[in-house]
Amino acid sequence: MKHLKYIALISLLLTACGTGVVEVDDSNYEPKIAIDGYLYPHAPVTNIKITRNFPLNTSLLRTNIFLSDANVVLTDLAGRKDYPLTFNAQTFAFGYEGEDLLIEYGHAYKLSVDAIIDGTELHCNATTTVPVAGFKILQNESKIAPSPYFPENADGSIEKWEYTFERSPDTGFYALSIVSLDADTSTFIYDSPYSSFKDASDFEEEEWKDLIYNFTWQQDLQLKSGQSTLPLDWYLFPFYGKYRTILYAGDENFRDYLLTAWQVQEIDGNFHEPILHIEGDGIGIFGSAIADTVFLEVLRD
Amino acid sequence: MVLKRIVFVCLIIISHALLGEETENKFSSISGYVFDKSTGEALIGANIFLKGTERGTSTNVAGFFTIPKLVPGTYTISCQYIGYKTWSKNIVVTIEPSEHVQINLEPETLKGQEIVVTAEKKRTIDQLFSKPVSKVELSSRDISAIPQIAEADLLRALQTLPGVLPVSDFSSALYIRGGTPDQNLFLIDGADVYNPEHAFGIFSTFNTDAIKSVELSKGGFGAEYGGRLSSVLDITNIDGNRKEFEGTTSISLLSAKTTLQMPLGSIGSLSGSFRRTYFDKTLGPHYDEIPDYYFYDSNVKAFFDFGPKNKLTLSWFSSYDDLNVNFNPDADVKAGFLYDWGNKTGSARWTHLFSPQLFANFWLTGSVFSSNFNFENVVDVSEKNEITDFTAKGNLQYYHSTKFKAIFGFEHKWLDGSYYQHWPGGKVDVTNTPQHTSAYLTLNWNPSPLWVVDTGLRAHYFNSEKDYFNLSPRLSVKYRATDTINLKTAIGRYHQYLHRIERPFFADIWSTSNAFQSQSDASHFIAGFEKELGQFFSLEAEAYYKDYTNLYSLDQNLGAKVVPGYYENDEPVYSTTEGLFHKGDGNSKGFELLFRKNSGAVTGWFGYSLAATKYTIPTINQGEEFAPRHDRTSTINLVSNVDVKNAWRSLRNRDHKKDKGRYTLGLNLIYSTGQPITTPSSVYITSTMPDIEGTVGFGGDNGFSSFALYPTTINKYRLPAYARLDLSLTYFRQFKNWSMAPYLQIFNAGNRKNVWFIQYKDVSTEESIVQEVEETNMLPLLPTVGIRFEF
Repeated sequence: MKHLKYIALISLLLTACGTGVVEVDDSNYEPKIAIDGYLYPHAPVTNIKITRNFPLNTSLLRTNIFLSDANVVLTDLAGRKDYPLTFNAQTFAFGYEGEDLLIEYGHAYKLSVDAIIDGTELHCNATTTVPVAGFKILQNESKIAPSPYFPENADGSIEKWEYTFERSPDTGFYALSIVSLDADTSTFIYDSPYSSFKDASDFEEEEWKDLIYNFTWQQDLQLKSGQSTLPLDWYLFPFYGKYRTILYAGDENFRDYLLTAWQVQEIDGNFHEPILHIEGDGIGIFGSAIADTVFLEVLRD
Repeated sequence: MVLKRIVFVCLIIISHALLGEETENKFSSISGYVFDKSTGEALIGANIFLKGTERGTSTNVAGFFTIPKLVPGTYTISCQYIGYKTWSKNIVVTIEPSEHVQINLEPETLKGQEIVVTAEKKRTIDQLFSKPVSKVELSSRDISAIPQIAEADLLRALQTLPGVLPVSDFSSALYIRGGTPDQNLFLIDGADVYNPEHAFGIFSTFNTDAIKSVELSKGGFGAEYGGRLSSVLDITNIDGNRKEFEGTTSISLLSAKTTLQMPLGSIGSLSGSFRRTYFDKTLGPHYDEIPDYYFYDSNVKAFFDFGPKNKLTLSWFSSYDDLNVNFNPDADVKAGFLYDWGNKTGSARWTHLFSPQLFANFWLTGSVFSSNFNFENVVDVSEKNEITDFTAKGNLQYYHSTKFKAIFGFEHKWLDGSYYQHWPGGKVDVTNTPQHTSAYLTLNWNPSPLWVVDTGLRAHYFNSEKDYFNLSPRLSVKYRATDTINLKTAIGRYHQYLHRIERPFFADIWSTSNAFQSQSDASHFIAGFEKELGQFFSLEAEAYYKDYTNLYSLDQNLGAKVVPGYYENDEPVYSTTEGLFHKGDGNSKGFELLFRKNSGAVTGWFGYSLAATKYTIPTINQGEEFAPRHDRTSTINLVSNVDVKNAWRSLRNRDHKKDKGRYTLGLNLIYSTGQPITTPSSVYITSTMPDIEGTVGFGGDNGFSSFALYPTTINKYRLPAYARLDLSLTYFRQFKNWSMAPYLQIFNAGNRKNVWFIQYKDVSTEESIVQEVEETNMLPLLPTVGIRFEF
């Protein structure tokens, strides 16, 4: 007892050395059906991916992911008709093989999935309402001509590409996907004001590939029909060459998924729940959109 | 129910005070001020008593005291204060006029010498008895003695007290008894301070050299304070030396700072402090890795003494941070961002003595916090965030008798909170201009020397888009159970009308109660005891329970929830706070121990806190209860300051000496349970955008992995325990008219790798994928040196 206080103090001091080790177990794991699919008006339903989630830190084989035996049904809520979807082993996706399904503007569709994961029967469903017709990029009114990088106007301002588009009524969310088609270390713009890479040797492994894809969006635009513009900032274009851009007029599911599912980790490292419009044992996205594509090109000087 | 009981107690106290006292009108009083004889600085908390009687009091924030209802006669008045020689004088009290005394206490040591306290004149148990429940008082000396990052820091010093926690090494924010930083009221010379943080929260904006006293109420505070749920930090800066020019200058690896004081003729004094970081001017131009960043803060205070009845204090404080980031310094065109933020506060305090029994302070204060963010050539985004607070308030203290004192006052705030952000396709433009009026009454009743009963009521009227009216009753009782033990309890109801949008690394945004958010409420229940242990030691124990209703926290999914108020040129304008916050309830409970030694060659404290905070928010965790991020179950603090030579003398049973040159060793050890954390329960494959799907998640030639993490139970896990040892060694050397003190500080001397958060990295091959856990650690071992001069 005489030396107890010294022992306690030394023990306490020793705790101030060393390393805190995080041990993450999988006791929090709950099996879920993961949906990844969108409907497009007047387009066939071919790419509804149904997979399972899996615990962190597990080595997972490609063949274990897809729930190819799942029972997947698409229901046209307007017509009250069910369309069973089947798994395509080539695309790893579910689709409708018949020709009697036409995705209509403004209609609501429900996707129901039943699957067994690790011996547990799971069910989930999600409903999307396809945006109403009207959305279209007005190419003649947009600034989309091939351009050198970061062109400076005579007044010192920076010229930017800009889309002008017609909105769909009742749709306020518009997301633009940007994919570089010529990405490579040789096409990377090293003297970009946004770049910290001086030459190809600065890239670790193939991290330049993380820069191929970009997206931006506008939300809460007027729900009545009319025109809007979407300026494209140059940081979205890290490579010279061609880009495929697709502008989507997305439904509520699309919006909430894009704005929350990829933002689940906060600045201080903690996680929070995303907004996923899937009921039951499901996660992911089942949404709908109208898409319009434009190709852009960044010219070398 | 609580309100009724407290009102009932108030009525009892008033009736006892007014009816139970002698009705004779043949009394007089002694009142006056207590000053430091060497500087003329008013001394807060000095003890005054009449020898041979049980009559006594202590000075308030202006150094004022009064002992009312004295029977005419001759008394020996005595004044004692830690670090000063005891002052005594015989005074003849007659009925008219009342006796006014100015007491100038002489420091025990010469100017410039650090005080080595050998014994306190007033017994420890008496000091504890006069201290309000849950209040901690720290001096500038206490704060400076605690080793920190680079230099002394007020808020980080407070984080060493039980019940006061940081959320990480990168934050000086205070989480007090389960409350969040926005629930703390910061006052500097009477003016509210919003977001008192430098360097993204790593340092606080208060220059410790300018501080005269710090009082932290961790809960159960009286009706004089309101508008916050958790705590009050009341900072009083030095008035200035009224006798001669005096200064301190110091330089650390972080900043250079100076504090100067001088008399203003015979009527007052002036003090000023300035601190600025300098690495942007020294290292910045040579290293691209060092951002173009600096901060400064400054204080100016003028004190005017117009005689015993009128005194005027003018105080100014400002802080400013400026960050200029250039993404690619080698590029022809600059792209980056500019971010600056800062506080400006000003206050004018008029101290007026209406009569020896009625003392008053009146303030006019202003406080502005603003931040500005602008991207340059990246995206057309800018942000401006500002809160302005103009306040008129008064505090009057009526000393009816030795047994009864009334404190009453008013406060009116004109608030203006605005937030503006613009981006291509929309903007946020929110402005609120509410007014907050409050009035309060506190009755202090000492039915006997063994009892102190404080009861009060504060009334709030908050006038915004919607009007709010709330009553906040308060009650605290202290009882001297034995010669060495005090018992204490406090309860109170608290309301808050400001809600913070917390943004790590960015300045918080303040929102006010409005049509979408009501006020937040809390109730405090505190009980504890204080014990004197021998001549030098004290032990304080407190248990508390707090419940919260209508707590607001930022909804991290706000991007999908905010609602435009109107449209401008077909673009949405978000003009309200609708969709910004989660709303819920919660509670905190805990037990704290503070074992403290204030004098001798070894001083410091040992603190232990056992606590639990739970929130229940319908929109988080499926409505199930969860622990917030700042919850820590157990925390141990050990803070010590050792005068090495005198400690050695103590070990050899020799008397202490006031050496001209001496070494001081500082130690700060903290150990606490790890923070709650939400870990993702699983990973799933999905696409960022419909046309961006890579190769179904697996690596390979088109290795874009679309793996999304999915969390479930919120904050179910805890990070590993946090531990840290900070050390400092200071050599103090006194010369004829000046002194110097070079120092070495080692933050995290054990170089423990405390986990800040964890991330997951996908390691994929053609056929398989594994998520590797990557730990991001807090600050490593950081040695810093500095030197301080006093002249």
